[in-house]
Amino acid sequence: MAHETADRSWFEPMIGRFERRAFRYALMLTLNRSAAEDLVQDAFARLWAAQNTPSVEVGFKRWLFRTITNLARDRHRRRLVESAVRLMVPAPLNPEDEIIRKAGDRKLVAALQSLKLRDRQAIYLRYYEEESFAQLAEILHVKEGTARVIVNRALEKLRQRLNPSADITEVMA
Amino acid sequence: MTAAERDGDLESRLSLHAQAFNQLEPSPDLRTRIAARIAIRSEAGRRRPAVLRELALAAGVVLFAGTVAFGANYLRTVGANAPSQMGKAKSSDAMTTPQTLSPIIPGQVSPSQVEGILKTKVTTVRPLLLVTAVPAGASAFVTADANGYTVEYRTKTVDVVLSTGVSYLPPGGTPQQYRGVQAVYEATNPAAPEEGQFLSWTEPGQSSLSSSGVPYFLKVGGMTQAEFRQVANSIRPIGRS
Repeated sequence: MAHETADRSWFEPMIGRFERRAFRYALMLTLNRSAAEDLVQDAFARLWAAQNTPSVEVGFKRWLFRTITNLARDRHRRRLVESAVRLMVPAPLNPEDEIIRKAGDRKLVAALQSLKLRDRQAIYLRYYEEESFAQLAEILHVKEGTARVIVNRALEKLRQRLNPSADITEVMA
Repeated sequence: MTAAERDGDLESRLSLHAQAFNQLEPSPDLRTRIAARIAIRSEAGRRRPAVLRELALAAGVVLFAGTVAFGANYLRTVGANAPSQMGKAKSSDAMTTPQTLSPIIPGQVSPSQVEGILKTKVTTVRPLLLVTAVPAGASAFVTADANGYTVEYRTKTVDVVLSTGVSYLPPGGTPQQYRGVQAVYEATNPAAPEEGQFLSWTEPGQSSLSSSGVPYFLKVGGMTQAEFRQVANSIRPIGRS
């Protein structure tokens, strides 16, 4: 649902409503508090500037999360390029942020950290945001069936990261 | 254990972690910084139509010259008055009214208004600091609520931002003494400091969010190190009414 540009009185309540969820989503994608807050600021600014930002909550959230995803992906690519320029050393994993440690289950965090952005995104939306597959599909911009497959594959990868011996067994089998 | 059972366990584990993860809070001033980013973007958006208008004007001049040349050529060859083909000029109202979010995004003000706005809006932060060496001809942009603020002074070449809160600094800053406390200085590109310089410190004082001090950061673009120091050294607490 598009809105008219003249009236943006609805925008500020949206910030209040989604600021924290946007932060946590960005945090899951970047695993870095500063970077997450930077992405969130940028994402809201982009939605403010965009002509067709939906003014209803469901649509707004979808746009917001998509924007954060794109920004996180750009950041990830930029960091890979930067690390390649610096003596071709692969980008180090982000150090575990204090805030991540506070959330507990460090093994799970480390395993999540080792997943690709897309897999982390799928798991977060499904289990942390508790999105239905239909909603998840809209945010991921895929069909519902594909969203299910993405989540299941991400879960499988996560399970393998948490239990490397299972990996070996499967490879040997 | 079957794959389904394993996934079930993992799903439970994720759900448990989600409960803890969803308690994580962003920095208290994130909202203020979102507002600041929107204000900056809004300003950039207002500049863009001016560029578009200039391009449209240039295109119009070329079109007009072409039309005149074609018309002159046509008159010369036909030797008769051609009917006027002049159409009505369409007004392009690309310039929209600046949009502001109230109350957290007051938008552009004159530098002389900044102190008054901060005194009125920022009720919990002490001390309130302000840059006194304002770049000549700068416009001021203020974002403020009770718990924090961002003031930006901008000219065509220089950008000075003073804000409460913790900045996202690139890693590897240099510790140094500033205003009697430990601060961190960082240049985005040490070989070209005018690309961006940052200084962050915790000012002795209090706010509703912290009694141990007020985090501040200064961000400057388009200045040499000496000019940056001059701006940093001009920062003073403002009196409260």
